[in-house]
This record gives sequence, structure tokens and C-alpha cells, in this order.
Amino acid sequence: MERRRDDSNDEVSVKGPVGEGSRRVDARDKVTGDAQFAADIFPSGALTAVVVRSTVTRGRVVDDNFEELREMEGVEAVLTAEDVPGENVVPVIEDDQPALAESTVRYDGEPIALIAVRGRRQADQIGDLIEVEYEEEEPVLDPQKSLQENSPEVAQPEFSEGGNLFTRLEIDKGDVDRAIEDSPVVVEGEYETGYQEHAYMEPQGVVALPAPHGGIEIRGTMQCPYYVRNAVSRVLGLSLNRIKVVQVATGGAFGGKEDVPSQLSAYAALLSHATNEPVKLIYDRREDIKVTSKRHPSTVRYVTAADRDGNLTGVKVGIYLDSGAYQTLSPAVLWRSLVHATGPYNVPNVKVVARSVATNKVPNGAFRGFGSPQVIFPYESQLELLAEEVGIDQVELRKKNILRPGDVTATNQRLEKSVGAAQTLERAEELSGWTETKREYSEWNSRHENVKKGIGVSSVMYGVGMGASAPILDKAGAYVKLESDGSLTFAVGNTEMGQGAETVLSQIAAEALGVRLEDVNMTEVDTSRVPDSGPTVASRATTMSGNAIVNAVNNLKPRIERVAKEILGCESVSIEDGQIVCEDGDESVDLDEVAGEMWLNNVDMAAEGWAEKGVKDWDPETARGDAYFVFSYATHITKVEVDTVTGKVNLTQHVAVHDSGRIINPTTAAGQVEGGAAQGIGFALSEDLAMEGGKFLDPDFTNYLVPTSMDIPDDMIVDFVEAEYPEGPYGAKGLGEVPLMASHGAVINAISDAIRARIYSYPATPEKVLKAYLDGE
Amino acid sequence: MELEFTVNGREYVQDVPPDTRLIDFLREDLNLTSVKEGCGVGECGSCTVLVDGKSILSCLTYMPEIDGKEVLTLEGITDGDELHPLQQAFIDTGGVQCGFCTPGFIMVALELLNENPDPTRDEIRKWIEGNICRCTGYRKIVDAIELAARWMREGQEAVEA
Amino acid sequence: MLKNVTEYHIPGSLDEALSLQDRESRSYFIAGGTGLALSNSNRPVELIDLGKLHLDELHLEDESGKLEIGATTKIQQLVELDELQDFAGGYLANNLEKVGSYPIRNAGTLGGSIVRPFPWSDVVPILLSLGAKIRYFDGTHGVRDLNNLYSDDFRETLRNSIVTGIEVDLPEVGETRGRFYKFSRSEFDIASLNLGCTLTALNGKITRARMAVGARPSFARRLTEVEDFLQGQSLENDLAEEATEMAADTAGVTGDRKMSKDYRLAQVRKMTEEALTGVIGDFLEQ
Repeated sequence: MERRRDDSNDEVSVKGPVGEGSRRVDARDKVTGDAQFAADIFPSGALTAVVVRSTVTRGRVVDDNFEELREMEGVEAVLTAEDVPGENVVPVIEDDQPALAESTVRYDGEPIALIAVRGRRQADQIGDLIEVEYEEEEPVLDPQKSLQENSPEVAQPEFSEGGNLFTRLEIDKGDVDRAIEDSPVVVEGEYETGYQEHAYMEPQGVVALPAPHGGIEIRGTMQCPYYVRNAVSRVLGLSLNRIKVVQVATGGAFGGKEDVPSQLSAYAALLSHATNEPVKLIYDRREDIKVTSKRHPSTVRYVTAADRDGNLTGVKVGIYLDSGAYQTLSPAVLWRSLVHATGPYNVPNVKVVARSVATNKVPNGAFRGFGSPQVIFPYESQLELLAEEVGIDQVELRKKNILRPGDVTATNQRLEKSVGAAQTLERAEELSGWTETKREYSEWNSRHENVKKGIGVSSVMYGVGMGASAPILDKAGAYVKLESDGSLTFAVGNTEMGQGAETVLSQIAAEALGVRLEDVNMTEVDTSRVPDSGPTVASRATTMSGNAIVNAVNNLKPRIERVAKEILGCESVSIEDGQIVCEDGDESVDLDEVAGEMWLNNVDMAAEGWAEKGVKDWDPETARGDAYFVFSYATHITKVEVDTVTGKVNLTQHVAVHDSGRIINPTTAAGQVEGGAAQGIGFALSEDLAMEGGKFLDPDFTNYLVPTSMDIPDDMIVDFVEAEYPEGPYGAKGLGEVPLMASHGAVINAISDAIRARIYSYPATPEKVLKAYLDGE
Repeated sequence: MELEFTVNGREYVQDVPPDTRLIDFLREDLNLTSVKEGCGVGECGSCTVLVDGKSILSCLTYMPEIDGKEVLTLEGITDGDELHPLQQAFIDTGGVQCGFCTPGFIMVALELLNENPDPTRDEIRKWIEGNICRCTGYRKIVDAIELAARWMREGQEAVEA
Repeated sequence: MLKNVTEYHIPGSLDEALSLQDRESRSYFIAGGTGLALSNSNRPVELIDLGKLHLDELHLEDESGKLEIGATTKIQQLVELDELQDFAGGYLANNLEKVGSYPIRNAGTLGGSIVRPFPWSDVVPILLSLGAKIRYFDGTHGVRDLNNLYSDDFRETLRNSIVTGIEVDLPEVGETRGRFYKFSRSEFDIASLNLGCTLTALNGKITRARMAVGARPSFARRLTEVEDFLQGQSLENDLAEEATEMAADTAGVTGDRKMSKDYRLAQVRKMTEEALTGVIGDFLEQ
């Protein structure tokens, strides 16, 4: 096969901490207990917020005892929809979700009132005293039935595309029906995935504090401070400049703290505004699992066609996402499902129809991968069926079809820069010893009945940033300030939630200025410091805030250099390792001395930076053009043993190879890969939330099984092929979401390889695996 | 009721309502906020502290049960500015991401290393199975405990590079 | 979380503990606290702490094979106690390690596991499959077979008594070995099914058999038909096959969200077969 090299990139020069596996800048606070999470904030005299929630899945509130509650000792406020001073809305993409339900309730757990209680013990007890009476109606729970004409209305007409259809999106490229008809090999399948709960270890929480000039301050666990600010502004009817949102230490998010903190902040802000007191709102785990967003359950149908050699000729896809009662982020999630539906493969003829559907369930939202895992499971499964039909090795099949520089995607986007997909596949093949393992396992399986061994592969691509779905959000600001002692303070609008952004951005700041990592300090993220920098989602923080920091430092640097040149008396200088050096001699001066001189001479020592990333030629009508400014790629390979009496799956090795451009910090990057892979393993094998009548039955960790140390293989090999992206900071692209996306498909394919039968729904519980094995016998 | 107990080496004689959970007392009365509430029902391990050297879940423990006992939290294992080898090892290996589960892991690992100074990786994995981490995939946590065990065996102080 | 507790008693004697309980039906005994804390109950108003009654002693008579363990002994202590490492081939010590996590075993007690048992408890089938009895105090000291207790309305039976410990009487002659299996969806998950079996053998014959299955998903029970079948038989591997079907027929398992009835039955068969071939294999190797 012809090998095409990705030679479009120039090497990006790096001298400082970029590329080093530096220790995390936030680690010390986290191992000593000093890091302050939302629940660790105890404002003096703070009231405890309690959210009164619907106990029915669909219906109307007909009576309540809120008047009585208001009179109770310790109760400082009881607020309902009519007490909202601004607009009764939690804005995300559409404005369809009320902050507090106005009598109609559309899901179990929907907020209908807020109570501020003095004293946490009293707050624990108030739940037992709340009485609300409902007129119940039959809920709409099944997305397919929800789309039928006679279905009761869930979606509000002004926010739907007709009936309970929230959004319909389509890609139609070439002639897929013709391709399927003409192709000698065609495979089909219908695939289902259920709820995946983020299970960040820190539950949701915020505090709201009265602020000067009638304003309000929010401190909380969150991904997107600017979303929160917007939501608080809307419900209180206050201008944006009166609201200050500070993100505090955030204990994991994974998409679960993208839009949900807007809800909590709106609730706490309403109570704080009404009482003029600090208000603290922390969800307990059951409440958190029950009422916050999750990964959309999906039903996805694929028809995949190829020629006799296994070259893909056409892919036809139908996607249904169960959105729950409100849109929240569903349109954007659905868009990502749509655009990622063919994976990192060349497909000349494509038709994808994607629908998000309203049901009487908790609104679903963002979760690492954002609509892509629901299509990756099917498209990677389909390739296995295809390999079987064609009679070709699974890796070989992928090599034939994988996108290389110069190829076009399903939306006809030509891939030019930083396309490392094929390299991830080849490297993973090599690291896993693919060919030898296949031979070895096949021999083992021919001689053993009780344990079957299998190996599986999955390749993915991921569009970094918001792309054409929301180009208005692909921007970021930065602020840098050289202090008079030579240290550098910087501020950005993207958040650290565990992924390592603070460390990576500090490395970029230090690299850009030419100082050591310990000389820079990132301030807590606070909406009053830098312009709206968009959300911390879509694996975009490194590229967006990184570029903004580089821009800010570049704006500041000439002033430092000018003063240094005066001190040194030379024409041109460079900054390295905290020293300013004459480029034409040995003379040098320490940065702290230059900074002191700048301070004495009233030189402006601060600068702002800005980054934006548009996409070109996108036509929303035809879904053609550049969907994203760049893609990241990965290939994972998993090895499993399946017990053929119990159906239990034991992972023996997991190999993960990623192209995320230049890796700024190999240690934190590997941490992202290992942790994301573990979440994907949980998605494939154990994570499932049982629901009955629209109510989650056991929203707890006894029933929702997050993988433990014993469930994740200790033998995990992580590697990076760094196809540098010249427009990213020092060649970097995004990484955060990709590991989860790539791992689950490799796991499910390995199981299928072991038992010679496919599994069409997640999670692959032992019973399901056993049944597939026995049915396939 | 009046209780006598020790927290991080300091003695307390204090009147405490009997239905006070240990986690609430530590967090709210003593401001020892390293003790994290991740689930409140003994499913996640984030609130692990040592009582008389044994790891227990402070969300399932009521104050009268610690009468006459010694409680140790993460705040109590640091010697002035000097980090405990486990703390340093979690920093060095990348065993910390969001950090919310970290205090619980360090406390349960501390008990492990007190009882078994040279555990295998599988013994470590088994020991920490009741503590959930959603960020790391556990491998770097196991690395950290293994590294700390080695430092402690060698009697080396963990030195910040 | 307990919300309404106003009184906490630490009695110095069993009589005192019992008298405290008599006064008020909203009083609860507490030992390790894990079970009660999990009950999330508004009901308890008074707690009676059994921790100072010295109910954590262990007696093992090597000669007769009689074991007595106090009710407030922590599960993890039982895992670690030297005396238990060889008792019934280490059956108790090895298998109690499958209960919960390390911190849970450090807090949870034997007595708590008996008086506030969950259907998915591992402790209960482990004890049942040793033929354990409970010791209790209701003004006078008594002993009662555990299986017998659970066959009755045990909560009613225990209402005015304190469980002070357990007893296991292994036959004075012969060796006892066992196997216990726990099926869970992940390593730390609670059991979706568990099964324990001990056999005592003398001169190539099974003199005593005890088998119990739990998380059916309902509460654990002894499989007495299987036990009767096994007792008196010679130690041979083909015993397992017949016993396996009998176990499946009498286990009384049903389906639930975690697994279907058929699947659970298949696992009962597998566990029974593995347990019996394992134990018989142990004996035959000797």
C-alpha cells in the first residue's frame, strides 16, 4: 500500500517547559487538603439551599404547602416561578428550560421551588415536610413512540421542529443507496446505548454571595463560568457586569459540569438575591445522579457497504438520541454525532439522518465525546462485520480506509494539516503485537473451551473545538502581568477540572516568555478578569487559551526587550530560562532586574491576548465544508479473556495511541488517556442506570458501577504520535475527550473476537456476553 | 454528649450531639476539609480517615463511636512543610488529577503501608478497590503507592526536585 | 443519615443494655454503625452502643473444633486473626475478605451483619454454610441455630434480645474444608449471587455437609436437600453432577434487574459444581 507522509508541518521550536512531564502546579494543594472545593467554602451565616423537585414524571402541580413552609422557623425564603425577578429560564442553546417549573412538570426531579434554610440540620429535615400535590399524566418515555403523531406533547412547539422532534440534521453526500445496491459486501446492524453518568467524584455545588453595587458573586464547581454568568444575569435581570463568577477547585466534570452549574447557580443566586444572604447549594450523590444531565441514550442503525477488497463505498446511518424533556445541549451533541458518523475513514457516499427527541426524562447533555461514542460503537462494530465478510484482518481493513493527508471527510472537508490517524493505527498495531497475538489467541481458542481470548481495535477522529456548530464560541482571552520581581501572573477564561489545563497553560505561558514553570502563576478563573472565553469543553482549552496566552505574552515581550536592550546596550535580545541574553554577545541580565527597571520607569507591564478559530466554507443547509479547524485521532487495542460459563470479561491489556499534535506535558496527557480509557471501559462493560416510568431506580454507586482499581487493566500502554498542528500553541491540538471515545469500541470488538459473536447494546454485562456466545455457538 | 478524643495529635474534650457524623464534625467544626463527601453512604471512599490506625469511612461513623480514640486525617500526616512520602509520590507520578478522591486514597494507602511495607501492585489494587477515582484510571495511583512504599522502605525522605 | 437521635447510651452490662432497649421502641443497638448509618432512617431516637460490653472475644477449642466469636468483632479482624487462618481450612478468614472494601470491613461487625442482614450479604451465607449458631441474651443466655432463626420472623425474635456472638461446632473428628463464591458485576460490587459450601470428611466419607446460597436475589437460605444427599457419600468427583441439579432445583432463585432467572440458575450450577469438585479435590489430594 502506498504510504503518504504527513509532511505539511514545520517543526515548532521549543526551548522551555513545553514537552516536559512537569509536576502539576495544582498537585501540592490537592495532596495536602488545601485545595478548596465548593463544599469546603463555609461563608459566615450562609443559608442552605434546598431544591423542591417534582416527584412525578409528567403532570401538573395542583397544590402545595409552601405558604406553611414560609412561616416555619429557620425558613428564610421559599421561591417559586413567580418569584423570579428576571426571566424564568436556564439558557443553554434554546431558552426552553425554565429555572423553576410553572405548574407543568416534564420530568421526575424537575425543580418547582427553592427553599433557603438557616442551619444545615434543619435543611436535612425540611425534605420530610414538603407537600406537593400533582395531577399525573401518562409520561412519554420511548423516543420512537414520542415521534408518533398521536404522542402527547413534551417539546414546547416554539422549540421543536414538529411534534416531539427537537432537531433533525442530515448529511447527504454522493448516492448512498446506489452505492449500497452496487456493492458486493453490505453489512447492517442496529445498536443501542443507555445512560452514562459522569460520576465526577465531587458532586455539583455552588455558593452565592451578595456583592457590591447590588451584584452577586458565584463560587462553584464548573466548566463554563461564562455560561453561569449568563444564566444568573437572565434569572436575576441584572447586567453582566454586576455578576462575578469564580470557578473554584473542581473535582472532575467530563461534560457534566458544562451546563448543569448554570442551574445550581441560578437557584443559589435567586435565594441569595431574595434574602440578601450568602447561600450554599451542594447536591448529595443521589440528587446529583438523579437530576443532572447524562450521556444521551441512543438507537443507531447502520448500513455499511464495501467492495470485495474492503474499501468502503457507502455508509447509511439513522441516529435517534433521547434528549429528555428540554433541549439543553442536545442540538450540539446531535451535530457531533452527525459529523463523526463515518469515523476516521474515507467514505465516498454518505447519508446520515440524526434526530434528537423529547421525552419525559431528565434532560441529557454533554459527556466526554459529546454524541460521538453513540456512533463509534456502531461504526467500529460494522467494520468488524465487514472484515468478517470480506475475509480480511481488522487492522488491514482499517489501514485501507483510514483518512490520510489530502483525503476528505463525510462533510467534504479536506484534511491537510496534522493528520496522524494512520500513524496511531500502525503504532498501536506494533505496540500490541497485533499479528502475533491474533495467531496466539486463535490457537488458544481452538484448544480451550472455558476461557476464550480476543483482541479488538478501534480508531477514532475528533473535531477539536466548537467547529461549525458554534463558531461564535471558539474564542478565548488571556491577560498577563509581569510583576516587579520578575514573576508572571496570568489569567484565562478556561478552567482546570482535573484534566491538567492549569499546568499545561502554565507551561505554555512559561515557554512563551522564556521563564521557568515556577515563575508563572495562573489566577483562579474569574469572569471579571478576561473577556468571555467560551466554554471549557470540546477539548479546546489547550489550543484556545494556549494561543491566547502566547498572543498576550507576545504583546508584552517587546516592552521587556526594549528595557533589557537599554540595560544591556545591545541590538537584539532573547529571553531564556529567566534571563535576557544579547544575541550578539555574552551579556545577559536577569528578568527580575529588567522587571524592576520597568516598574521604576512606569512601563506598562500588562498585556492582553486573544485567540479565535473560525471554520471556513461551512454550509449548514447541505452540511458541507469545514466542520472543524482541526481533528485529533487515536487508535486503541484491547485484549480480553472471556469466561464462557459466566460471560465475565477480563481485560488483560489496553494499548492507547493518540495524535493530539505536540504533547505539552506527557505525564498529564498520559493521565488523560488512562482515565478516559477507563471511562470508556466502564461505558462498554458495566455502567448502566435502571429506569422505570421515567424514574431512576437506584441513583447510587452500589447500582451504578464505576470501574474500580480491580476492573481496569494494570497493563496499559500509552503512546503519542505527534503530528504537530502549526496553528496550535507549540503544535498542540486537543486530547481530553478522545481516550474515552477510542477505548469502548476496542473492548467490545475484543469481546466479539473472543466469542465469535457480536454484542449490539451497551453495557456488555456478563449475562449479555454469555447469551451472545451461546447463541453464536 | 461529652466525648474525649484526639484528632491529628490534638486532644479534644467536647460536647457533641450524638447523631453528628464524624465527617461533619471534622469538616465543619475543625475545618479539616480534606475529608470529602463523595457519596455519603460508604460507596466511594473519599471520606476515609484513620481511627486508631485503621481506615474507616467517616460518613458512616457517628461521633460517640470515636470516644477515647485517635483520628488521623490527611492534614495530620504532613510534618510542618515537609510532605509525607505518599503525598510527594502522588505529585511525582501524576496520581492526582481533580484531587477530590486523593485524600481518601492517601489515607487508605497509609494504612496499607503501615501493615505491609512492600506490597505488590496487585495487593495495592486490591487494597484500594473501595475507593473510586473517576479521573486517573488508577494506574498512576498504584504507581504512587508503589513509589512511596519504596521511599519509605529505603528510609529516604521524599525530596522535592 | 440519622437525623433524630437525641440520646446515646453506653451500657456497661448486657442487662443494662437490654433494660435501655425495653423503655422505648425507637431505640437501636449500634456496634460498627455501618448498617444503621446506611439505613437513612428518621426513626432511631436513642442509640445503645454495644461497643463497651467486651463482646469481641474469640474462643477456639482446637480439640473439639468449637469456635465462639463475639458479636462486635470487626469483619476485618476475622480476616486477620491468626486463630482463624486454619479453621475449616481458612474458610472464614479467606472468604470474609470478599465482603465490602477494607474500610467497610474495619467498621462492620459480625453481629451487625447478622441482625441487620441484607439479601446480598456475603457474611450470612458464609456463616450458614458453616452451620453457625447465634448466641443471644434476653435476660438469660441462649443459643439458636442461625438457619432456624432466619426461617422464622427473626426481627420479631430478636426484638427483645441482644446477639452476643456466634458459635460454630465442627464435628470433633474429620477435616472440614469449604469453598465460597461471590458473583458480582464488578470487583467491588455487591453480590448478585453467592454460594458457600463446607464438607467434613472422615475416612473418605462425607460426614457433614453445609451449603447456602444468597442474593437469590432474596435472602440467603441453606440447601438442606443437597446437604442430606451429600452426607454419608464417599468422596468422589461425580457427586458434584447430581448435587448440582439438586442445588439448582432447590435454590429458589428468581430473576431481577441484575440477572435473569435462567442466568442465575446457570451460575448456581457452576458455583455448586466448582465448590464440590474443589473441596472433594482438596480431600482427595491429601
